[in-house]
Amino acid sequence: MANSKSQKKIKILVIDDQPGIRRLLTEVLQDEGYEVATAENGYDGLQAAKEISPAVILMDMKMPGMDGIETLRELKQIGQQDKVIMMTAYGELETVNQARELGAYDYITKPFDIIALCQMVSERITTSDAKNLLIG
Amino acid sequence: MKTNRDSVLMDEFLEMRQEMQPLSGKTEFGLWKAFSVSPIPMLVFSYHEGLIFDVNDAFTAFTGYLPQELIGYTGLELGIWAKPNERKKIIHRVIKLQKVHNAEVSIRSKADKILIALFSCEQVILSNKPYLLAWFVDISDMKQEQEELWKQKQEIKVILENSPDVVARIDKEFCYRYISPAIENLIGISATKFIGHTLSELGFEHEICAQWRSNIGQVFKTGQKVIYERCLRGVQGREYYHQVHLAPVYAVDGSVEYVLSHIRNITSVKEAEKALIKSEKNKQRILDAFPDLLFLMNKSGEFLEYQAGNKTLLYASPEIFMGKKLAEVLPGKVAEKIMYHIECAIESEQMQVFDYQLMVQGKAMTFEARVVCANNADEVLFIVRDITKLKELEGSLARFDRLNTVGEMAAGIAHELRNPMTTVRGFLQILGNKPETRRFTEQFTLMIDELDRANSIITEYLSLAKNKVVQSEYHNLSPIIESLAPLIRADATISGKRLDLMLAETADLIVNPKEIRQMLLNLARNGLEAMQSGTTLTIKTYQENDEVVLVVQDQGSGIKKDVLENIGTPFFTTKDNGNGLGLSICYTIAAHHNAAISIDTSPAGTSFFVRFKIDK
Repeated sequence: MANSKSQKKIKILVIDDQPGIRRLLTEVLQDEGYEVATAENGYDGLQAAKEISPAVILMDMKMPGMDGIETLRELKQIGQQDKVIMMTAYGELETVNQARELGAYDYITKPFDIIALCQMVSERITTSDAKNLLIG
Repeated sequence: MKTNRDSVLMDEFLEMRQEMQPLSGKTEFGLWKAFSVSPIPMLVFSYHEGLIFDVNDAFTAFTGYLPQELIGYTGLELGIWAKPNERKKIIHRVIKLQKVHNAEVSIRSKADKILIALFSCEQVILSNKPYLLAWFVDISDMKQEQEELWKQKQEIKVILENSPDVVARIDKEFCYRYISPAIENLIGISATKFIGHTLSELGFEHEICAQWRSNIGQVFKTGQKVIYERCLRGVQGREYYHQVHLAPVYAVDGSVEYVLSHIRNITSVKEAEKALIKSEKNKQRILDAFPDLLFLMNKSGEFLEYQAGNKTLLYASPEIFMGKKLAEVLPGKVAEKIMYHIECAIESEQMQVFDYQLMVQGKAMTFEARVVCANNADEVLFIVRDITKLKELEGSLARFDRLNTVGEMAAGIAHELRNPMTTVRGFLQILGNKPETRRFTEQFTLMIDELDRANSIITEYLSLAKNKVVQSEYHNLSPIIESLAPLIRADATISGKRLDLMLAETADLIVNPKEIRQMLLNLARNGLEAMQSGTTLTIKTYQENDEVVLVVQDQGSGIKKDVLENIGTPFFTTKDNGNGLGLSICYTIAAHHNAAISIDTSPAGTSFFVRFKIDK
């Protein structure tokens, strides 16, 4: 893995209203060596994003209250939209395109292969690392 | 009244009479008497001086002067001559001829009135002296009458010559004696050409002339007015219509002297009439083509008139209902309902719209009726429209809407299933990779595969529910059928039936995969619903000549003949909860793909064949 144990753990934020999904993603990503924070709605997710500024945000499209797209819009306000991987059970083109237009990094359809998900997360981290290197 | 002067004159006259030759005294006296009592205004004046010597009573009455105002004076002095020139002329003639007869003169009466008279005078010798005896014929009234007549004549002439109507006078020889100039405008022949000629001499059509001659003849014979219409053909075949009045003008002896003909151009009236008839006919045509029933009824619901574009909608034949009341024709409740709305319409003067049901020729039908007042609310128009089909469609649509709602809910549920599936699949993946579960790897893999299969069923279901547009492209039927098979199989398994696929190698077709899936699903569902548990539904493909054939074969009990006739009609269904759209959608989809659907049915089962043409 890209992160060594001596380094500070990379933070991942999971925003999903389904407790099962939150638990699954927490376990999977912790196994991968990430530090995982969760939120069960868009509002809490937004607060968490502001506080911890995670490397990657995994967010469900459809949530009660503030839904994925709305939260994404808010995240864009604080410049964190490009770390978002949207998760959708609908796979509807319209919503996906909307997320892309708002600057989301990628999307994955439920039910997903956890290996594929982990790859997507690590890819996001690698690209941001590369960007940091270039800037640094 | 005789005055003293009169008697003096009389004496003088009598003296003079003594001297008069060759008249005897008696005769002279007799003459004088005649002079005096004559109704003709007369006077005697001296030949040379013109001094009035005597006047009679008629003259004083004529001029308004008393004898004493006249005698001893000249006419000129008295101003009797209204036009002194006339007097001069008379004097000239008297000098020449010693007499004047019937010279028209203007006399001024004492009341300053101008009288027109014919003046005559002759020389007479009284007492060896020359005198003139003059007398007048008063023609003032005659003159006035003449003038009036002349004015009237002028007026009539102006009227005749300026009227758009034509007036003509026709004599017993059927010749025109007069015709007003308007005739030229009417038929293009000048009035002068008519005079002295009959209509036939002017070259009119034989038929027109014969009618004209016969009608004029009749007026001469009976003395009765005749009115008739005729049609003349003008240039470019245009028709001109005239209304002709023929009236007799009687002679003094009571016989008809000539016939006055009065011709009026009624072409525009006739044309308007024709246009009206035409528009009436068009209206009738529109009404005939109208699918609605129209009834005119009086206040009490009696049928007066009807109009039925489609007679099969009539509850009873016109012979039965015409002139009858609603209650005598229609079932009590329906008649009551209609009567109620008729009363409402009359009372409120507003159109009433309502529905009612009626059995017509053994069929339950729904009608929409409108009632509007007509003829000052003495009558009503009752307009009836057959809305049976519409009502049925409304029912189907409501059912369809419910189904749609259920469908949408199912789609939502399918989505929501994916969340728990994600959790389950994820943990299966984690657990399956742990060293402790290594001996169960196969089972874990199977569980994950099954979950993926469940997801593919959802995906397929959603692809049908979603309104996404898929373009027609070259596809092979087999993968489409295979991708749909899990869904159909799931459907079959629930009710204990099996699905067999027998897919041969076939040519690619230009198809819309979404529509093919829809058609296949509908056919398969229909097949499965027709089958008992334990039987098998077979989906086959094969290629035959230049066609790819898709067969959905069930093991149901076959389709009855009367059902077969209606198959594919939208909203026709034999299922309790069917919407009657499944097969009609299949037919529509087949039509899109230029494919034909045929059915082979027997008590052992039914096969639907969809034959696609292979593009070359």
